[in-house]
Amino acid sequence: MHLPPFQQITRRAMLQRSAAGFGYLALQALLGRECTQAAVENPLAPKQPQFPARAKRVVFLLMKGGPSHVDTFDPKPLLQRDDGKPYPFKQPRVQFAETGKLLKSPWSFKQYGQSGLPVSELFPNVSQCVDDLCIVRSLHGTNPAHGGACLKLHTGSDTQVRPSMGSWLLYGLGTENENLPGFITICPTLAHGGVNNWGAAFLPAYCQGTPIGNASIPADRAFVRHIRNEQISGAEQRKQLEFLAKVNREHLALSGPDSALEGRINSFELAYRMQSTMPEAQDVGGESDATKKLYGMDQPVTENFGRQCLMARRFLERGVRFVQVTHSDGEVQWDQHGNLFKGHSKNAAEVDKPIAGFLTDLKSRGLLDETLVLWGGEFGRTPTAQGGDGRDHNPNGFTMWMAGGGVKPGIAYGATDDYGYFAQEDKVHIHDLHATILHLLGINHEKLTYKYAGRDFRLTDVEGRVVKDIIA
Amino acid sequence: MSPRFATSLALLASATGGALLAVQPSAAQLDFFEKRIRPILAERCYECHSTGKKQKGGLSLDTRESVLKGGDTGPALVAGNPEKSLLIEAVRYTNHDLQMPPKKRLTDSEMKALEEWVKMGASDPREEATVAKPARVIDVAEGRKFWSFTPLARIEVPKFADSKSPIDAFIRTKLREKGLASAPPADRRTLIRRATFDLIGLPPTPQEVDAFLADQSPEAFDKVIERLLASPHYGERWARHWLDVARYADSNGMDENIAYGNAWRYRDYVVRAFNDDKPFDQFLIEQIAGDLLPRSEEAITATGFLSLGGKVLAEPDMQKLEMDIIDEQIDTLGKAFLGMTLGCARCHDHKFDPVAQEDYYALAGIFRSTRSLSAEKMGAIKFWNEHSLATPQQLDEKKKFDADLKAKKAEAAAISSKARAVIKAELQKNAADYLAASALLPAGAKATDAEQTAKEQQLDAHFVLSCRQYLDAHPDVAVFAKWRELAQKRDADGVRSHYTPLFAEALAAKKGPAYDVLADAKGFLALPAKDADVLDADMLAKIAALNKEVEDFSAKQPDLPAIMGVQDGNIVPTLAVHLRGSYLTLGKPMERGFPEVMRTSFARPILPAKRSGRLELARWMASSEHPLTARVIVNRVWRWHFGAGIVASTDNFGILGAKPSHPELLDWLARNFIEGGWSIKDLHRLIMKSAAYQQSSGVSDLPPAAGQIVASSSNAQIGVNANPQSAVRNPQLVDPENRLLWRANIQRLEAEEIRDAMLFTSGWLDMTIGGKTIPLKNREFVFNHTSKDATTYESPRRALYLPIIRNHLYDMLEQFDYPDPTMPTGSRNSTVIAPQALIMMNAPVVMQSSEKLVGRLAEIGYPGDSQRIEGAYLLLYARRPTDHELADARALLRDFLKTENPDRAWALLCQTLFAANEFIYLR
Repeated sequence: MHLPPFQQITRRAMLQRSAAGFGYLALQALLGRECTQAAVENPLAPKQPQFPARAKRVVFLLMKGGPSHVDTFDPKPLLQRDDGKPYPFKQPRVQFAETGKLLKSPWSFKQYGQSGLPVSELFPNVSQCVDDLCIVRSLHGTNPAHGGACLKLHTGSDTQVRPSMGSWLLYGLGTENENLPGFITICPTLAHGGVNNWGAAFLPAYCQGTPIGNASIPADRAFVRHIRNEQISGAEQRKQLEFLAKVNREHLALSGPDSALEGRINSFELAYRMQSTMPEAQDVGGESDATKKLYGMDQPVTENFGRQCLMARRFLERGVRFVQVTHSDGEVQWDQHGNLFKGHSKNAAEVDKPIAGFLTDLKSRGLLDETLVLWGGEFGRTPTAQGGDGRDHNPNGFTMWMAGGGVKPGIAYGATDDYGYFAQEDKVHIHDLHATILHLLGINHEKLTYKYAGRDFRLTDVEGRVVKDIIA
Repeated sequence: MSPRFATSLALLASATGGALLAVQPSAAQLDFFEKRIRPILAERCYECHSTGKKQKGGLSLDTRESVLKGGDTGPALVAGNPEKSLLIEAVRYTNHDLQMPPKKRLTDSEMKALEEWVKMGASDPREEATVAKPARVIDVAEGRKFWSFTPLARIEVPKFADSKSPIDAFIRTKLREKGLASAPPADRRTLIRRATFDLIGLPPTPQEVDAFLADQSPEAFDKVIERLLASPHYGERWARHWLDVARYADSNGMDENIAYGNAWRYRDYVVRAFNDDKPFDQFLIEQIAGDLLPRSEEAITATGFLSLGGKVLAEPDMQKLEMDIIDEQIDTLGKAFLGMTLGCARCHDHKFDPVAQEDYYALAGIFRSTRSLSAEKMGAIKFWNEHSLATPQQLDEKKKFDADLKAKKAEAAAISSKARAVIKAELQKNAADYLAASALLPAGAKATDAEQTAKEQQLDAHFVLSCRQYLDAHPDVAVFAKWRELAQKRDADGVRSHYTPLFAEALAAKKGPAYDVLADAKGFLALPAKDADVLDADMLAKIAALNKEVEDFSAKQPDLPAIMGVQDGNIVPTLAVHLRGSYLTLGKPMERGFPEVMRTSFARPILPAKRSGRLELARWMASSEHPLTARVIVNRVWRWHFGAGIVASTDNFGILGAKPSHPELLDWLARNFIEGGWSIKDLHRLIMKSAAYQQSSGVSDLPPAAGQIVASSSNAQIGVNANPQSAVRNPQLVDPENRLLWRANIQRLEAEEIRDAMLFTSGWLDMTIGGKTIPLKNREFVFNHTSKDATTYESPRRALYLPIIRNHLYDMLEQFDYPDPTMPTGSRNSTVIAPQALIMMNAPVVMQSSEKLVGRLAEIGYPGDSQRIEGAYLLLYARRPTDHELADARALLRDFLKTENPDRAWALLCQTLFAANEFIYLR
């Protein structure tokens, strides 16, 4: 009995069942050379955005714990003046903890660059890049606890498990490098949402973020799980795989055509290749001393975060769609309920030089134009004091900044009230931030949907407004 | 819907009162409206509140009538009274929960104009009739006509020659309609491997295979089925299926990942339920309302079903948290038992299915009357409800233990406070010096200023600075009047000579205003709250060691036995509809009840006034009249056997779900299931004895296409190059997805089966059943902020017993498509991704299993390499290798032996056999 080539008849079924994660393209190339439809149907093939994109990729520098906006990028003269006085407005209906009187910033602000934007003395290096920054001072979210706020920031929902924004981007735009994951998160925190912050939820598995280590592991010892085998040599593994391919092909011949069985044969080849591409991509050993120095890798204080940022650049230039770099340690790093001065000084010192180096490097390599850089935490902090020298969580008004990828450089957008408690002018909700990021990547946030459990889901749920004023 | 917006409407509701009188506007008033008000409304409000565009919150502001009518909860303004008008409150931005326009406030003059306008009586000439979009009204009578809401049909089994099983009669009739036929029976080795994994999740042993091959009786396979159904491991395998649906996990996940230390009792309950063949209707009732049945630990344990969901435990808004938990419960029970996405009706009427928002809140009232949270909490983290099983003796022991723990903690704390006291005394002694030094600092001094001064004076910089900051912030403390005067002149010596005797005297007298300021813990000499900021390294190390002791001691304390589950709480007879899902915008109060479209009786149920109504709900769901319950579970079991459901969307039987491929068969199965007493084991027997189950998966085994040729099939178009003659005869073209079951599906083993089969065949698997296996105490953090992963997966117990940690699954499970344990899943994916290959190549569990398999083969003591390879094939694949397979394996082995010792060489070979498709796929 004559059977037509199997690839033609069950390709759709195969694509549904054997989404091969990163490396999918190569698998397709092996399976369906004859089939011209392959590229179109590969879910991870780079897709045309819905309209011309301003950015091709995103890097998110997460300052875990919630940096204080009134001590970094949102100076408040009245807060300085009224230090120690009671806060003159009503505080939020639901508060995380009781807070006290107004607490002025222990840091002074200065204007920098041609834009003259003010930055506090916490960031002596980032302030030199201020003409590249688009500082949004009117962010607001809904959840005052770390976990809820992290989930909201990453997924748009603080009540249910939803896909992360990186997963949505991968789903919408595919990947540009089939041998690397399209969504990488470097040293993420496992607390406060953990995997859900880079999870695909109901989106296909290939949209999942790939973690490199976690926040408890120094960046120089952080790897993708199972990417290395200390016990079996490359030569031995090669022999294993050749034998495996043979027995699998024989099994396939016996079992009749089956897309999953065939896909699995190739997944081993791909995995074998990834064992070299992935470590190569994250290995900063070959970078020049000048570059390492630029990222602060020559100083113990900045070595770890500098390495994370440099890894991020290497991934970005290899076409990874979404890279997240998390600044977090054994404590909730930026969470200064007390010891604001000491804590924020330490934190800023660890990231200031690496971030400035990262921006400078992206710019000099021509990557910044097409890379959207996002900086911030899951919320800001209260202008009122908690204890003597601390600030509480504040999702009601805080600052994030962006750079590159189609945003207006050297501007500040939106404002909090006179003391920095509530976003007030040109408010930007987390959903608006998401809508804007998608827009910059050429996606209408209302049209990037996925049907699950009987409903079309979006990153922005039923909200979201593109903040057109910050788009260059 | 943002809470911000929702809140605004709640306030609208509470403040609206009397009807508005139409006032005849004067020309001046109309002029004011046109010049000042209309532009504001048009530019700043219409975008979200006008008839032609959006009507957020149900509010239009583009006609007089619509303004007076207001939004979902009432009028937007009270003419003549700005203070009572929500429109005015909203634009004033003084209420954080009611701020309009949301993105940017009006200017002061715009705000004043609106106030003025309302004060003058809100004259408004806009009269165009409102052309509201007709709202979608749920038509329950129409909705009942949808296939899944219709009563179970009484179906005659079609007549089909040679079909012993009614299932085959249904399947073959449909195949014949398409010109197709069933595949021939699978060979016996394939069949026993399929059935054994299917029922117990493990491969057959070589002895079991031999016994089946040797049994020539017609009942040979029936005996295999009975043996497997009687195995205690049957319950473990099938409990795992149900646990997917029940979104089982051993930790909360979500925002604060703490251990569900008693969830395992529910898991073990499910294992027992399957092993005992508990009738499914009873299984359902226990899970929804076991606590309301005559008291039994077993039934209470079942209510863990309602407790297991992920919760945002640190949510500070208690009302929101409670409604979120209820939503999770309703959503889960809807999907799990009814195949309905009821959660969609939380914020609005279901967009597709005939379930109104009122139905949702009628159900929610039942769960609002149920207690899911405990009164206990840990800081901001709330705990779930538990039923204690502690004996009086255990309670006594716990009391004693707590007292000991308290004493130990006090001991540690005493050391710290003693050290602090010493520092405090030192500070008090030098208080005048600190005052003097701080007088030298500039106003608004920073740490660097303080360091300089402190160094010169040999004082502690921290206290110099904090002293100064305190004095700046507290300009009205009388004792420091003199300091303020002298500090103006930076007269440090003056300060010192004034305060030194004053403080010395105060410390001697231990009273008076000067003593009060010295003793004030939050005063000018306040110590930082954290020890790390006050004490020296030696002292800190000493305290850390003591704390570690306390920690170790408290780790030794066993949990008091308790069941995770719900119980009745304060009964609420009605629960208001939450407009847009927010408790801040309440609509019509709803009596507790069940969704109307699924009710077979036209009367609303009458629920007990003093109980939640869960028991009545459960009994209604489990009644033979319910159109969904039996269909949904029968379809689930079918899916778990065949790899695809009769309704492909196992968790959605609604309008957006898939349609049944064999609707008659589904109804016949469901009715048969109810008539037979809801027995799951009988359903297994029925399915597994069918030829449809026992047929081959191999396409090469297909007979030449038989039966009538059907000329038109949309699927036939897929094969673009195919000859139309052969296309219709080829089942791969007619039905490439195998929806009609013309062959058995090739199925990949599930994550647990792959892992368990490796451990089982290598003789490593510990077959113990049940018990607590999560190595954490109840409510202990899985991940706190440190991100350190303390969970281990090295246990040789079956994968069913490995900890299921939300937010951080065991990677072996995760990569092989373990479902997200926060959502009910009746149909796992089966993807092929490169990270799975990395696991088979590099993960320790695979390499260790390979080594242990080598050991096991050596123990069996085969006389030569060939026999040993044969032994491995029998264990792993339930068959012998062919001659050339044997030759290939031997060649590979010889190759490895050139560089490796024999055990290593064998292990490398065995690992490859584990990685092969034949091991992880069922034919």
